[in-house]
Amino acid sequence: MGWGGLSLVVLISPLAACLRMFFMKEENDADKDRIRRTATLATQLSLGAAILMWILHVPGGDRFQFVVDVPWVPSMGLSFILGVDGIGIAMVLLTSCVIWAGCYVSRSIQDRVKEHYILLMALVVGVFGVFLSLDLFFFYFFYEMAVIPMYLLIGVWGSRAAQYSKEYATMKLTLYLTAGAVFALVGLLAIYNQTHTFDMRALAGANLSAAFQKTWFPVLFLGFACIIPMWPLHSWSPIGHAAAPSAVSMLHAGVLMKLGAFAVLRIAMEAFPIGAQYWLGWIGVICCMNIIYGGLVAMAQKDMKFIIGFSSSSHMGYVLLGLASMKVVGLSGAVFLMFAHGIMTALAFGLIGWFYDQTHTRVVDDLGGMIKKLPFAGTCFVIMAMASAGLPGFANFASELLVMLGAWKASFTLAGTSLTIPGWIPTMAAVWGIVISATYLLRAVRDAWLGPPNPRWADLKDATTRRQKTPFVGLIFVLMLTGCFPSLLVDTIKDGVKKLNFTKTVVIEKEASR
Amino acid sequence: MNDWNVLLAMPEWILGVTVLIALFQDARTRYDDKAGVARTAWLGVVLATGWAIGQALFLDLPRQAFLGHYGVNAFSIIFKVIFGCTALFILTMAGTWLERVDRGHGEFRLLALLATLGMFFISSVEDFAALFVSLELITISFYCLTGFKRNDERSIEAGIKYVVLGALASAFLMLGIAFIYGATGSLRLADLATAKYAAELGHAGGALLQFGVLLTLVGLCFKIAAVPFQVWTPDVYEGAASPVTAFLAMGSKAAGFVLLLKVVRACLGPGPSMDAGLATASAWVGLIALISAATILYGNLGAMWQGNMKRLLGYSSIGHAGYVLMGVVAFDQAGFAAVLYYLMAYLFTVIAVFAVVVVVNGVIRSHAIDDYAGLGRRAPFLALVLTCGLLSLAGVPPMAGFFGKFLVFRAVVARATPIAYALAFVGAAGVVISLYYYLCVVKRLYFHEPAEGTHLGSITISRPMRTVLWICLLGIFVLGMVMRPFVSMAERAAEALAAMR
Repeated sequence: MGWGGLSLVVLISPLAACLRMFFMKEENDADKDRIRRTATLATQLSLGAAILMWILHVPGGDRFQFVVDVPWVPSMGLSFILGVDGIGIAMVLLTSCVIWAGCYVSRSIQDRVKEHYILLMALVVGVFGVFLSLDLFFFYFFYEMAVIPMYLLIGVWGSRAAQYSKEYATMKLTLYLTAGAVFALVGLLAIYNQTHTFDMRALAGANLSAAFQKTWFPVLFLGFACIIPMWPLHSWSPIGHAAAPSAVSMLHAGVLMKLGAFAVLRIAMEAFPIGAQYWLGWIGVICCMNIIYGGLVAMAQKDMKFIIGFSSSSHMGYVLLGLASMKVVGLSGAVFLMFAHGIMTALAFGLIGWFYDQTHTRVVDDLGGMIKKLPFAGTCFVIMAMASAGLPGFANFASELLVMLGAWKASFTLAGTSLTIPGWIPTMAAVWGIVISATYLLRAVRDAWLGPPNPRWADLKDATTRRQKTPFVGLIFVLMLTGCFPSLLVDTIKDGVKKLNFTKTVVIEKEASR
Repeated sequence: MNDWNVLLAMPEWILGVTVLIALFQDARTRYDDKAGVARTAWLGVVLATGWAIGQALFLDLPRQAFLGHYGVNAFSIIFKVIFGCTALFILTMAGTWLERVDRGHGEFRLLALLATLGMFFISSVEDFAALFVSLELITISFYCLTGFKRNDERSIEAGIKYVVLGALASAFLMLGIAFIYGATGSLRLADLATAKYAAELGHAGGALLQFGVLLTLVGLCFKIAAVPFQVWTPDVYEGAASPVTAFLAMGSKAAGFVLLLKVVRACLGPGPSMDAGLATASAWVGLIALISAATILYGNLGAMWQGNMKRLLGYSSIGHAGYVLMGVVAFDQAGFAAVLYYLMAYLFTVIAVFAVVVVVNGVIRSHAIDDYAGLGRRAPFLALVLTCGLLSLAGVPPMAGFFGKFLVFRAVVARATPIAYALAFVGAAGVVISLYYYLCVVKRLYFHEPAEGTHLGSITISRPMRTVLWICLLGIFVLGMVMRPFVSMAERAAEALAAMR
């Protein structure tokens, strides 16, 4: 097993916390604090294990490392397999950073603390499970498992999102995600039908027929695209972000959306390389819609959470663009962007939650000049906005650059038509996307944080204690560290991407067709 | 094969004797003191189920008795255990529910025992005449149970509705059996199952047989509440007392599926390998697929608009019949194993939900979903069990219902035909719809506060009910996470069904 135990630690520590908290009582403040400490400890353990994995990962070694393999139902070819490649490590690291910060941010919750943390930990078990599973069944198992705690978390602890009630928001989110998941399940079972095993490591050598791949790639892709969220399936996402309590928004925007892209990359594209090649032209076009449309809608928003929500779907467009390029550079960029964007949005939602707790408004026009009252939070917010707008020195810049390099070199053939779009057209859209995002972010900074202070907020309190500052400082540190030294993470990611079967197959096919 | 082996039917003997003892006990005790009858009934079911388990452990299976009209194999034993557990849960729930009723405590248990006896028989007998009699034993007990609340109009309405439609369905079933007999000259399933008949039946005989199977299917669709014979379900579920509804939802439905599996196996799949059916088997599969898809959509779409908990569960049980039928559509061992796993999961899930309904109804005296508002704060444990039960019904991991649905989907997709894929996508749509209405209930439990003027006292749970709730909760999670032993049981049973001759 070697270091396989690390995967187990990552997955089991939140699960153990979940069970432990179930039997804890919540009567006074000391009890509540004990519950919070239990959850925080679990996330710290996961984070520690994830960092160890990143350090101990051997780039040239086996594709999947830290593997745990337990036969579960042998008669069906179903095993409980955990393990990560370079891509998985980036995602596990992202999740553990975000939930670690999320646990600190959740301290502001006072009502039904125990249930809140139990559900939060259950959600995280699901997310870790998806990134760690090397078995299609357990992949789906954890994927679905992550959705339901979300429903309750938003419904009980959430807040109104503009004209939508939190009940509407959470129901819409749950149904969208489940619909996508169940749709994809049929595709997963169709794969199983061909390979007769749920082991994901067998996907690479599955060699499914071209016709089969072309039929079933859209099924899997559309199923997973619901959670990315790809335009026009995105409408649940900004509402869900806005209605969720801070920690859940952080996890939701930071990590949950990446599940979809991760699944597309590791399952849909790996099992169906020919199918992906066939359809990627359309993905390349649709992702431009994500980038431009999401950005333009974000410009029109007044509610801070909606701004960041739509900007998230805009940024996920870059991830899709990177995936569609099917080049090592573009794919590495996409995964790196998933990481960077996750940390960045977690920071954004954490900060918005911080002042929403005090002001009970997130509408930009109601705020103003807040940086005078909240110097620490304001500085963090400006840093976040700069990172999001793609300023060099932050991970977002490095990753978006990689995506564009990949996309520029690719060409997108629209399946079903004879049109071929050269790679520079989507790349130009992506560049304009950055301009748009700079516009709405700088405007939000100007209207909410700078300018004359609104007298309504005379008695706002800034983050003063170490507990309050830690999550934000931590996230900014990660963002800047990976931004200034991208190779720290990109090397790991690239190792994973290079070992994807289609980064090889596509090259071989192209040579054969010449 | 030509032996009588009377003692092989020991579980049924035990139950029969229990019914007689309970009958005498009932006649000799005052109307308000039926603890003895309750104990006898409980003990009888435990003994019978235990004996069946003992047969699985210590006997060389499969075995036959009564000149080959009765068989003991993995298939029959699994169903006996399912029915035995159902009966125990129902008897416990009835204990709590009967406290609110002034008389009839003994009769209720007797009827439940008789229905259980019928279910035990139907698992084992391999002869159309005996199957019909067992099914009638179950159904007639249920007629009485459904109309049990004799002061309640809706209960009586439900009873009459069930009698009239049930009698019609039985008539169809009888007619179907007659046609099958006419075509093959035998009532034994094994005779039908041998390839001999399929080959020797001429064109006319084949048509007669198929017509008979069609009529039988009509009768069975009524029992399992499949479209287009499902209309009675919501009314009867709403009108009957909650423990009876639970018994209907689990016991009666599973009994219908036992019979359906046996008929499908015997009439449509000749060889033990089950790979080739009648020449027209694909048409049959298409028909069952159509029924399945329609049932899933009808049940789930209908449930979306319900404001009454029991009606909602009635519609949802229609939907679940559709999912179980998906396993039948697959028409192979994997499909039959999926059906078995689905029913095992359904047992714990449905009983958990109804147990909560019984307890909650005892306090709030209402089945309106709106009156469940705020249960999460008033009775956290009940709300937790109800939530887990509903999510398991919806098929969310790590609950049992998820793995049942997963197996059913896997079996259907493995057919790899356009019909199968279409059915799988309909099933997927059904999952999403069902999640919506189950979550609408969950929403009331946790997001809403109780309405003004509702009874707000705390809800006490009696010791036996608490045990039932805990067992079901554990069952839901164990079947959802540790599938291996249960899958192998289901697979053994499916194998036994395939090998039945």
